Amino acid sequence: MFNTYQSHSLQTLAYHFSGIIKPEVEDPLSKPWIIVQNNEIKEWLSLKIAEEQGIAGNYRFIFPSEFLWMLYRFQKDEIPRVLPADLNSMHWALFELLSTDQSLLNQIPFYDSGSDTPKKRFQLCGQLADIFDQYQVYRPEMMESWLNRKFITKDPNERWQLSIWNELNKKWHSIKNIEHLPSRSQAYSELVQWLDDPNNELWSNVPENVYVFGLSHLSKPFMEIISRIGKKHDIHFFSLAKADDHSNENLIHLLGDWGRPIQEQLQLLYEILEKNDVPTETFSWETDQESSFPALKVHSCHNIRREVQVLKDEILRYLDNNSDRRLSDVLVMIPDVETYSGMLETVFANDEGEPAVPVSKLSGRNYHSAEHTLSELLELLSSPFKASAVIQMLHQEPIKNKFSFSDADLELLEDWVLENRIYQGVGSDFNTRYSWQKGVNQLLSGFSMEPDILNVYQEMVPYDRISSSDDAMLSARLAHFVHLLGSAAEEIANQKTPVEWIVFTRRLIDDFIGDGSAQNTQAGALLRMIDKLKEQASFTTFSKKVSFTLMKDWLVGQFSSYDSSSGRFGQGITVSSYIPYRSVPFGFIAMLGMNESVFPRKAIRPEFDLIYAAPRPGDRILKEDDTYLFLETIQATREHLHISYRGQDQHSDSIRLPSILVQQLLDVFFESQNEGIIRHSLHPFNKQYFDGDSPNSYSDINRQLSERMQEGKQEKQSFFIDQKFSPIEVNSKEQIHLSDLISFFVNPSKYLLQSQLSLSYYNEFKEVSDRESFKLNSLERHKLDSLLFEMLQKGESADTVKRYASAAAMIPEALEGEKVFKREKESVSGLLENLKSYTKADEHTEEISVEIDGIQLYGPIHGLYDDLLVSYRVGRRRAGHEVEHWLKHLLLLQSGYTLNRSLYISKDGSDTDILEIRSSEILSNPLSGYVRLFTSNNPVLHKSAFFPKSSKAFAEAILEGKDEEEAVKKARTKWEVTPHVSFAEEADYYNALLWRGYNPIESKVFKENALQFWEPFLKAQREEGS
Amino acid sequence: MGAIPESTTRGGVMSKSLPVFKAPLNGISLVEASAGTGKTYNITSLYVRAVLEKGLEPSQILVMTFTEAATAELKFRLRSRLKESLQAIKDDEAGNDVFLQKLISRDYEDAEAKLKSAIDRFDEAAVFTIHGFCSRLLTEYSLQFGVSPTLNCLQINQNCFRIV
Repeated sequence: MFNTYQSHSLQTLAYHFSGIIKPEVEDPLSKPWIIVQNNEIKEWLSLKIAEEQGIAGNYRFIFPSEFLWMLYRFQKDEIPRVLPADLNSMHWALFELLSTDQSLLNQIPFYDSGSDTPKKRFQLCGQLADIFDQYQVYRPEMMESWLNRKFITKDPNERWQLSIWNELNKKWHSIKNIEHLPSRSQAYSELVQWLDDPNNELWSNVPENVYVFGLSHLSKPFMEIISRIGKKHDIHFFSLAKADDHSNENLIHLLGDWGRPIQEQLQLLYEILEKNDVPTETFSWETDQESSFPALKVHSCHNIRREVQVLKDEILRYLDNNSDRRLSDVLVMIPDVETYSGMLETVFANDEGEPAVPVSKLSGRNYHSAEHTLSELLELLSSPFKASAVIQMLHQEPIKNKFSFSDADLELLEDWVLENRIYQGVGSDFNTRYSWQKGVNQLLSGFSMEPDILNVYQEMVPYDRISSSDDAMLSARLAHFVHLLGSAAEEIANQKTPVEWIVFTRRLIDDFIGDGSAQNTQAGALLRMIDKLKEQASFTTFSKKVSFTLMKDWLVGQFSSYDSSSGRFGQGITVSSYIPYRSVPFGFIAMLGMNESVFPRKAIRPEFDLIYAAPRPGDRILKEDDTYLFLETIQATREHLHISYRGQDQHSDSIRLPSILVQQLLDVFFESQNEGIIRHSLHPFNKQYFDGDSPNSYSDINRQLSERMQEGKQEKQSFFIDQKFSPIEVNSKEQIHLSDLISFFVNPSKYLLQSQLSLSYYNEFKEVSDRESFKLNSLERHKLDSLLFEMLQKGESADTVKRYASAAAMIPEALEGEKVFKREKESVSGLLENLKSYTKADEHTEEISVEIDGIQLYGPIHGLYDDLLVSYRVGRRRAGHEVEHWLKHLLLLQSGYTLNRSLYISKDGSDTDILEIRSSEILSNPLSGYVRLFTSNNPVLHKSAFFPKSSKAFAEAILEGKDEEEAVKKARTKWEVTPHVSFAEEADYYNALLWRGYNPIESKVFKENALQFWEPFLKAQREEGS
Repeated sequence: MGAIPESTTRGGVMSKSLPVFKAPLNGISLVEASAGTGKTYNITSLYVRAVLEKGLEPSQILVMTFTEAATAELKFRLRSRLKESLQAIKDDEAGNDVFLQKLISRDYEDAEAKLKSAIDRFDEAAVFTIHGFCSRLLTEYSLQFGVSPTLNCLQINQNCFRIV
C-alpha cells in the first residue's frame, strides 16, 4: 500500500507523522526507515517527534541519494564504498581512455583534436564524467540500453557519447579486481529486477513500513523503487500540498508556477504507481482557515555589510515585538559562506552601544578552513612565491597553528621581510638575491654573528636585530616553513601519476596543516577526503604522468565543491547556506544576497548534455531547483520573511534589481515594485534611522553619530576660529625653548595641533612589496646617501659601502645599480668635501639665552666653527630647513655671538648646493617680530596661516615686483594638490586637518605672515652653487 | 508616436520619430539618436514585437549595452514594457500609449501566452554588458575556446599587471 499524506504545513505533517510512525510489530527493536532530504530536516523531525512523544530514537534516517546503494548492498555487501563509476574515478578513467584512444576523440564533433592538450582533454573528460554521472542517476535505463547499442534520443550528440560509454565499460571489465563492480545504472537495473521478484531474499531486509518525509525532489528511479516497495510493503509518503490555500488568486498562480516541478514529479509518481498496480490511499489535513502569507519585507542595500546590519536591526525588532519568540526561531540563509560568514560574525557580535546577537558557529569552508588553506598552498607552490602571497599564507589559521605563529609574530615577520628585502622566489639558484631563503639566512646569521657595521658574509647581510632567543626561535620556525616550501616547490617540477600527486598532497597536509589527531579535526576530515580521492584515482591503470598544474586545478576544484555548510539548532540564531534548511519551519527567515541573475542560479551545462537538451519530470534543473527552494522557504516561514539584496551601487547609487523571484513576488502584492522595496542608505548612522518616536535602529553609537553630525553642521569649527592660542599660557613660565620657536615656524599647524590638542600623526605605512625596485625612490636614495655620508665620513672605502649596499639590496642589480651607486657616491663625496673645507676648525656649541620683550629664549645651537655657522643635509634643501637655519642665525646674532656668516650645505641632484647668509646683509634683526607672532593671542587660524613653501613663493613674487594676484598664484602652486604636485602643503596631514574646507592662501593674514617672515630672509640670502 | 522625441536625421538612416512597427526585424538596422531622445524606449517596443512576431523567448534576444547600471535599467524597462503590453492586451485598453494601441489593433496570435511566458522567463533574458556577454560566451564554450571554465572577469581596480 502506498499511503500519501498531504498538508500545507510541514508542522502539521510532522505532528501526524509522530502519531503514525511506530516500530515493527514482530521486532520492537527494529529501526523504522525514514527517508528525508538532508541532515537538517532529519534533526528538525527528530525534535518534533520528541516534542510529541517525549523521546525520539532508534530511527534509521536515509537520504534519497544513498537509498539505492543501501538496498543494493543488502544483496551484495562486498561492494565497496568507493566505486569506479563515481564521478572522480570516472574522470580519470575517461582521461586515460581518451589519452590512449585517439579515435574516440575524433568522434566528438566539436573537439578540435588538432589543438588537443592534456589540459584541454582533462577538461573535456571532466564534463563527460559529470554528464555520465547525471545520466546514471536520472537516465539509468538509457545507460543500460547504450550497452546494447540502442539509441534512446534523436540527439546527434548521443552517438559519440554512446561509443565512449561503451568503451569505458569495456575498460572497466578488463581491469582485474574491479570488473565485477557495478555502475550505478547497472545496480539500479539489478535492484529493480530483485524488487520485481516477490520471493527475492532482499525483501527480508526491507521493513514492513517505510516512511518518506517532505522530500524536495524526487528522481524517477527513486520513484520506481519506492513504488515497488509499496506494492509489497507499506510506504508512508508525507509531502507538502500544492500552495493553493491563499485568497490572492495571483499569488496562488505564482506559487503554483514555482511548485510546478514537484507537482510534475508527484504526477509522474502516481503514473508509476498505477503502471505498477500499487494500491494507493491519500490522506490530507487542511487547516481550517486559509494560511496567511508571512509578513514580507524586501530590503535594498548598498553592500553586504549593510545587508547584515539591516538584518540585525530587523531581528532585534522581531524579538522586541514578540517577547515570546526566541533566537532559535530565527533562520538566516546566506548565498555563500565565504563572503557572508565573517561579516555576520563581526556585526552580530558587536555589542558597542547595541545588543549583540548570538549566532551559531558556522561550520564548513571559510577563509580559515583546512581545505581553503590547502587550496591556497597548492596555488602558492606553482607561483613565484611573492612576498605578499607567502605572508598571506602565514596568516592562514591552520598554518599559524601548525607553526605556532602568533599575531605579534606575524607582524614582526612582516617587518623582517621588509627590512631584509624579500620580494619573491623561494631560493633556488635563480634570483636568490631577493629570495625567502636569503632572508632566512640573514635572520639566522644575524643572530649567530657579532654585529659589525657594513658586514657582508657570503653575499648576504646578517640581520642584526635578532637578539632575543624568542626572535631566534621565530626565525627558526620561519626557516622551517621556508625549507618545507622549498622542497615542495622542487617536487612539483616533475610529472607524476595522479596517485603519486595525491600522495604528495597528503604529505603537504602533514607538513603544513597537521596530522589527523584528535585536536585537529579539520585536518582529519581533509585527510579522509584525500584518501577517498586516492582510492577513486586508483581504479584506473593510469601510469601516465601528468603535470602539477593539471592536478592542482583538479584538487582545488574538489575542495571548492565541498561548500555546503550550516550551523546547528539551539546555539543562537541559525545561519546556513541556502540549501540545508530549505524547508525547515522557522518564525523569522531571512534570505540575504537575493540579487538579480545570481539567484535562481543558472547552470552552465555543456551543450551536449542530453538531460538539459530534453528535460523530463524528475530531472534536476538547477534553476527549477532554486525556484522551488524559494517556494519551500516561503512556506516554511511562519511569521516574517526578510529578503535583502544589493539594490544600489555603492559608488554610483544606481539601482540594481532583485532576483526575478522577488520581482515576481512583489508584482503580486504591489502595483509598482518600488512600493514593496525598502531602500536603505549607505550609512547606518543616516538620520532616517533615528527620526520619529520609534527609531529604526538599535545602535546607540549610530544614533550618537547621527546626532553629532546634525550638530556639527551648525557649529562649524568654532574652536579654531574663536579659540585663542598662546604657548606662554601652556608653558606657564615666560620661557621658550628654541626648538619650540623653530618647530612652530617650520609647520605652525603641526605645532599647534600637537602642543594644544596632543594630536600626533603616526603613519609608518609599510607594506610588503613583491618586486625589487629598478629605480630608487626618494626615500631609498636618501637612505643610501645617508649610509654613504656616514661611512665615507668615517673613512670607509666606497667599495666596501658598495659591496654592502649591493648585498643588502639597497641598490638595483647589475648596471643600473652600478650607475646609481656611482652617481650617489660622487654627489655625496662632493657634499662631504665641501663640508670638510668649511669645517676645518673645531666644532663649537653655543648655549643661547636671550630675552626679547620680556620672554626668555634658551637652548643650544650646534655647528659653529669660529665665526661661521654650518648646517647641512644629505638631501635637497627645502623651505622648512631654511626656516630653521635662518632662525638659528638670528638667535646667534641676538645673543651677541660674533657670527660673520652662515652656510647651509645640501645636495641638489648630483651637485652640492650652498646657501650663504652674511650677517652684514641683515639690516635689522626681525627676531622680535617673529617671537611676537609666535606668542601673540591671535586666533588659531590666524597664527597658523604660515606655510614655509607657499609663503616663501608668495613673498618672493612680491619682492620680484609682481602684483598680489600673481603672487597668490605662485603660492597656490605650492599649496594645492594637482596631478603633478603631490607633495603640496595642502596635503600635509596637519594642514589638511586644520584647513580642510578653507583656502588660507587668499587670506590677508597669510599674506602678512608670509611677508613678515620671508622678506628679511630673502633680502639677506645669497646663493651660490658649487 | 507622440511620446517619442524626434530622432536626429543623418544620411537618411532614419528620420524623425522611429516607426516602430515598420522597422524591419531582420537584417541590420542602425538607429542613431542623441541622448534622451528615446532609444531605450524604442528598444523596449521592438523587443515586444520580437516576442510577438518572431515568437522569441527572452533568452533568444540579445541586448547589449555598456555599463552594469545601464543593463539593470534596461532589464527593468524591458520587463515593465512586457507587463504593460500584456495588461493592455488583456484589458483591450491602451490609454494614450500609441504603441500599445497599435499593438492591440494588430491582434497577434497567442499574444497573451507569449507575453506571459516571456515575463516568466525574463530572468533568462540575454541583457548584457559587452564584457558580461563575452565572459558568458567564454564560460559556456570554455572547451572550444581553450580557457578555464572558472575564469573571472577582473574588475577595473583589480591588479591587472603581471611581472614578465
